[in-house]
Formats: sequence, structure tokens, C-alpha cells
Amino acid sequence: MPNYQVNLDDAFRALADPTRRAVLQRLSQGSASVKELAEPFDMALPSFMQHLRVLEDSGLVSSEKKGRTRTCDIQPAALLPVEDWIAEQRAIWERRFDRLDEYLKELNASGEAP
Amino acid sequence: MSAAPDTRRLRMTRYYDAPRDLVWEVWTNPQHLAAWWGPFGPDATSSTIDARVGGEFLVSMQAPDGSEHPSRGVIKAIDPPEKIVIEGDANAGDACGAGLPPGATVTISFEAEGNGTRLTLTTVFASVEALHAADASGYTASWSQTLDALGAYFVSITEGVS
Repeated sequence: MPNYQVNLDDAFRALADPTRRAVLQRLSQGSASVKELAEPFDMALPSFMQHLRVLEDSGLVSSEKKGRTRTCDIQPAALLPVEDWIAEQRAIWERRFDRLDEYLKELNASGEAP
Repeated sequence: MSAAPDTRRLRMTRYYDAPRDLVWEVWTNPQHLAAWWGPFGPDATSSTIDARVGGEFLVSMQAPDGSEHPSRGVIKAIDPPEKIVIEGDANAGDACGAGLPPGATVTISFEAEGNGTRLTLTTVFASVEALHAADASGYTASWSQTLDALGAYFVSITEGVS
């Protein structure tokens, strides 16, 4: 079983690069070999492997070697802590705006609004 | 006429919680180099260093598909434990030269800072175009990742020592 324990720092670091995000987008459509994943990028193989390593270290991607082919998969569960963190921030701001809304309505009703 | 060095220069720096002599050692000892350089791990990486001016600096990486990716250069200056200057092999296979871009001068400097070491990797590329090509080939992102991995390597080799 892959380890789904994801460190938020590692996950955001993994997401903070256009090549790595493109790899995740590709993997969300299904498994792919390292060769297939590297193909769209005009990048040296060691450089591309560095990106894959960051993705694997973050837990967002897992890989399995069969013979000479390494096949990669996305680990969608690993994105959950990232989603939770963003949802939490959004909720805080939504509650703030709701309170502001109510406050403005009260002001309006009491005739104190300009 | 080539562009001014400033526009061809790329500078990266890291602080390591490790003494300068040790940081110098892992940069110039082939056994250490093979352990932290690049993405393929120590089993797929080897190194030979002729540690003198004019000597060869080589780290060879073998990708899982069997392809070879050498980081090859000539040592232009070596001043233990402060500075090593390497010129990337002009015949490198791609624009990033697996870490030592063709015709680029890569200077690694080691400064004592507090209880640790400030490492600065400065690359002066052959041209502005060469800088952009190396960056597109993954040069900056790869060194960034490798310098981070070096930090983790210091943690792994000093664990249990202090």
C-alpha cells in the first residue's frame, strides 16, 4: 500500500511548478510510463526525473517498475489535505463576508448608512 | 561580441547546517558526489574527480532506460575549502549538460556562516540564449531540487554523530 500521509509543505511545493502540475493533469487521465510523461517536455531526462522525484516524495504520485518500464499513477487521496486547507481558508473568508453583509443590512435598517 | 556577464549569470544559494570542511568534502569526494548528485540514486550514479586545475570533474548518471547522462567539466580553479570553478564540457548532450552546461563556468563557493555553511552556485553561461535553453531544459529546477537533496544528505550522514 502506498503511504497517503502527505505533508502540506511537500504537497504545495510539488504543485508550485508548471511541469509538475502538467504531469499531475496527465496522470489524472490514467497511468503513464515515465517515457510517455516526459515526451511533451523539451527537457533533459535527469531534469524530468527530478520533477518526478519531487512528486513522488510528496506522495502525490506513486510508481512501479516492471522490467525496464516505470509506470506512474496519481494518488488522488494525497490531494485531500491540500483541498481541506484551501476549503478552510475559503470558509473563514465566507463567514467574514456574511458577517459584513449582515452588518451593512443592520446599518441600512437603522438609517445610519450614508 | 558576447553579452555582459551579468545577463548570462544565474546564482543559487543554500545554507547548510554542516561545517564547511564537510560541505567541501561532499562536493569533491566522488563517493559522496555519487550519493547525492541528480535524481537516480547512488546505485545509478558514479563519479571520478581529478582534483587539480585542468583535471576532469565527472558525475555519470544512468537512467532507468539505460541511457547515460554525464555531468562533465574541467576544473578551472580549486581552492579548498572555499571555491571550485568548473567549465562545462562543450560537447554536452543537452543545454543543461546534466548540471554542467556546455561552455558555462560554474563556480561553487563555500562560506562559513554561523555554525554552518553558505553554498553559492553561480553559473555564467556562454550566452543569454544558452541560459534560456538550459533553463527550458530543466537546469534551474534540477539544481534547486539537487541542492535541497544535498541538505537532506547532510542530515542522513551526520545523524547519530553529534
